[in-house]
Formats: sequence, structure tokens, C-alpha cells
Amino acid sequence: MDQKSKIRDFLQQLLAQKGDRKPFANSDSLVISGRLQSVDAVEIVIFLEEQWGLDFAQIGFDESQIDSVDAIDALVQNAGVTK
Amino acid sequence: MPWFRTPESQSEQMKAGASVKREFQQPGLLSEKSNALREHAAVQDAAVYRQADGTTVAFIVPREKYIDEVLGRREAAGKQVRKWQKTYDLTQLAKSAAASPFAFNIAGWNSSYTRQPLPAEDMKEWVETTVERISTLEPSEVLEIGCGTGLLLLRLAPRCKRYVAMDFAPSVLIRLREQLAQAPALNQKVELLERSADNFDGLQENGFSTVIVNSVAQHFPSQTYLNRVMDNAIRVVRPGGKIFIGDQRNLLLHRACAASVEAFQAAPETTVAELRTRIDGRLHQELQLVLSPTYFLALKQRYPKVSRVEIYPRRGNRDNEMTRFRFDAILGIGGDPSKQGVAFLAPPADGWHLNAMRAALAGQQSVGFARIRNARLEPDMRLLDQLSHAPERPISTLRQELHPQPAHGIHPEELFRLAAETGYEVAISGAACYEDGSYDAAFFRGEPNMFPAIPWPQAENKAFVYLSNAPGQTEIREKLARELLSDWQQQSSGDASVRFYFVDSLPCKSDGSIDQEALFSATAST
Repeated sequence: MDQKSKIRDFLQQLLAQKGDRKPFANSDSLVISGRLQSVDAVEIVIFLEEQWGLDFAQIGFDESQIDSVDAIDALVQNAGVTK
Repeated sequence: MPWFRTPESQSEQMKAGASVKREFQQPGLLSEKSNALREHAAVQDAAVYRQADGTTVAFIVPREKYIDEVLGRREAAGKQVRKWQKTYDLTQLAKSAAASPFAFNIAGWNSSYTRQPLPAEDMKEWVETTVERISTLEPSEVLEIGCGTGLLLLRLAPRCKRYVAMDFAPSVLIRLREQLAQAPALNQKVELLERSADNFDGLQENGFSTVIVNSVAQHFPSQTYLNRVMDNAIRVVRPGGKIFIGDQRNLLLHRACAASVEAFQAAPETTVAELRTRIDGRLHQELQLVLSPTYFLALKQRYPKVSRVEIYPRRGNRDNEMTRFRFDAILGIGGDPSKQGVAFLAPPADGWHLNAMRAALAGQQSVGFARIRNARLEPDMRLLDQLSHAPERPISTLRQELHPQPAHGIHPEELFRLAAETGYEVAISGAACYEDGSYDAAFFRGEPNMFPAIPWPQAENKAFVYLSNAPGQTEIREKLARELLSDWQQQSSGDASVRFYFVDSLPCKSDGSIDQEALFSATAST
């Protein structure tokens, strides 16, 4: 499974846990739009730390970085991590 | 303190064919069944009733240790605390947090309505009213649990002898240390500890005049965790001291708050039925600990060291979720202060109005006004009322019907203006736990005193049945209910129909018998 698909799968699971099974595009806002809450943002951060070793204490944090599949994919690529 | 089931969420009830009657009819206590349930390791206390229609209802006070150790709540609670810690760490990793002005780092304070940062003016008032209230307690040696970025510390510490502040989020403490570096005079008296709220290692008994737990307890994973914190907080405060537990989300107003937020966020075409479903969903998915004022009122019975408990609505003119739906609790430690003689007047049929209050005050040394309708909450209470019986229609129509109505109640701040105008001191209280958010007020002549001992009207027994919600414990509750139901069915021959309600206490009447009416009344809304 490629990086983007992994990210998409994870976000889909998070939404499903909240009973949200509506479709979403890779560019759709999920956090800033309110479909996911701040506690879900923490789940995304933990996922990125565990999956690709991202260190937010180093790169800083902004909700826009994890707002969509595309944003997260870009964040992982820009962080220069491969796993 | 026992574990309980939140009155709003229903999914964990094991429905085996029975239901609670909505109108109270004297049910019959089944002593044998109650005793059998008390034998279960998970049950601290139980009362089983057969209702007039033949159905059976069991009220269970679960045993905390069993929930924690056997059903796995302790582990789940640990995970939840680590998530909150990360949430707060992340708020301080944003560029905006680093650029905050001195003593006003409000990163992470977002509105539940807009999900955007709360207006700075709202936060400014929130900080100022909180600092003012704590200042009246004359803090000298302070322990602050959950100090965050120092919104209170940086204002209170300069007037204290010693200020020990705890927080569990490392990034938050880094930001606070950066600010303290700009105030070298505070270095001698401020000590920062990175630790969880329930870690009191090394903190001396009677070592502090004041403990502050402000806007923090909602992030505790359970009532049991809060019990541990309160147990230690009471231990470390010396006689004559105070414990300030501020900005607490109020369980009595939990549904009103959820309805208010969901109605605000709903698209115009959302129907009333859809809105009801969303409100139930929000309450069911609640991850924060929401407390009834009765949680604190009950502490007085548990701890001889607690001499008084005051429940205050939040001060402030800004209209936001803190001023509407939260309260402050202050515990007096040691001593037995003599109460001021205040007689309370019942409200007129159409409720209290400022003119009637002004007239009642004329020539009096003190006057108490019971059950003043809270103007802050009237729109939300009207919304709840409409939702309970409104026919199906879009929320846009409901909004139009609700919006233009004038307030009939009194905004709490109006009373402080009335007191200033008439030369009285005034105190207001939420200790009576009125379900519609009404409050009591006492006017008296004398020295300014923001912490007067007043014989406030007391909460009814039914308000003590639930002391808080049970955030994130749905699965654990379902597991417990399944265990109890299995036992019940094994012991019953042909009478396996029962509905379990998990409650915090089985309140008693003055003769020592269980107050059945209070139990059924408290659970009737579920």
C-alpha cells in the first residue's frame, strides 16, 4: 500500500469511528471543517509519529498540516522521511 | 465515590424488556433481589424495584475498584490522559503560541460553537474574573494544578509568598518558562513541576493556603481520578485555607449546552429530528468529565476537613460557553464559619424582576431571593423545550420562532449592578442545582465579601443521584451491564426482565430509607 493510501485508510477509519461514512476527496478539509475534532487531530499526530517517525516538536504544528489526505502526504514528503 | 451512568447516554443500558415509568408511582422495593445484587463484586450498593406495570428496575452503585481493575478502566484512563497531554502540547507547537503577548498565551482556547479561537475579549474577561475571585480568597502559598501557560500564575504569583504549579504537558511548561524568564522577580517564589494532576509526591500535608484547579478537571478521565486529586488537595491545604475548582462544565446544563452548540452548527435544512439525534450523539461521544455541583456539595459529607462548599455561577458580561454553562466551586477547609442570617423569599408567580427585588430590599438589612430565572440561559432553555415537543420542521423555522422572544429572567451581572446602586453587597449561588439554570441571590449590608457564608437553599435529593458523566466509558459500562444481566438471569427463574441504571448514589430520606422518588425522578429523563 502506498503512502497516500495508508493515510486515506487511517482517516477513513477515524471518520467511521465517529459514524461519519460520507465520501471525501483527498483534497477535502477534515479537521478545519470540523468533521474531525481536536482529539482526532491527536490521533493523526500519533499515527504520523508511529508510522513515519515525524517529530512535531521539531517541525512545529498547525492544523492545516494535517487537514486533508493531500496535506498529510505533503507533510510526510517534506519531512523527508521514508519508511 | 461510586461509578455511575450519565443520564444522557442510553446505549449502555441493558434493555431486557423493561422500561422506567415516566410518572412516579410508588414502586415496591425487592429486598431479596437488592441483596443478591450487592453480593456481586462489581456492586457497592443496589436497589431493585418492581413497578406498577410489572417491570423491574435495578439502580446500581458500581464498585470503583472493580471498574478500574477488572473491567480495565485504569488502563483506558491512562491512555486518555496521554491524549489530552498531547493535545495541549500541540497547541504550544503552533507559531501563534510562540508569538503570544506576555501573560496572555491563549493558544488552544477554541469555541465549541465556531471551532475557532475564542475572542481575545472573552478570554480577557475570563482571566480577569477568575483572578478577581481567587484573589478574594487571599492566597499566600498556592498549589496550582494544571497551570497551563500561566494565565493565572503570572497574575497571582506576584502577590503570593510561594507558588507551586503543576502541568503534565512539557511544551506548555516550556512556554511558561519562557515567560517567567521575563519576570525574574518571580523566580524565587515559583516552582514548576511537570507531572500529572494526581501526583502529589513530595507535597506536604497542610503545606498550602490555597489549591487552584481551574478549567482542568474536565480533562480528568473519570470521577475516580478527580476523587484522587480532591483527596490530596484537601490533605495539602491547611485549616483556614481554600480550594478553588473553577470553570467547571455543569452536568445539569450538559444537554442544554449540547443543544445550543448543535443548533448553532446545524445547516438551515437540518430537521428537528436530526438535531435531536446529533445532540444525543454529542452527549454520547463526550470525552470530557462534566460535573454536577452536587459532586462538590457531597465532599462536605465525606471530609470532616471541608467546612463549607460554595457554588458560584461564572461572573462576566460576555456571552459565551463559559459564562453560560460553567460554574466555580470553592471549598472552605477547617473552621465552622457562622452564617449570615438571610431569609429567602420565594419567587413571584411570574418570576423575579429587578423592580420587585428593589422594592423587597427597601429598609432591610438582608434579603435572599430564591430561584431567579437566568437570562443568560433562557434562549437555550427555550430551545430544549421546543426540541422536546416541537413537530418535525427545519431548524431554520425553529430559529425564527425562538429568536425574537424577550428575556424574562435576570442576567447575574444585573444583580451586581443593582447591589452597587442600592448600597448592598450581593452573592449569588448555584448550590440549589435548579435544572433550568436558575440561581439564588443574597443581598446584605456590611463589608465587601465575595465569599460570605450564606444559608443557601439546598439541592434536592435527586440532584445527588448523578454527580458527573462517564466520559469514554461506553464499552466498559456495556461490559458491566452484560455481567450483571448474566448473573441476574441465572438467579431468576422466569423473571429475567430488568433494566439497570448505574448511579452515583442511592439518596436517603431523613428516616434513612432510600428516596425512591428522587431515584426515579433523576432517571426519568434518560
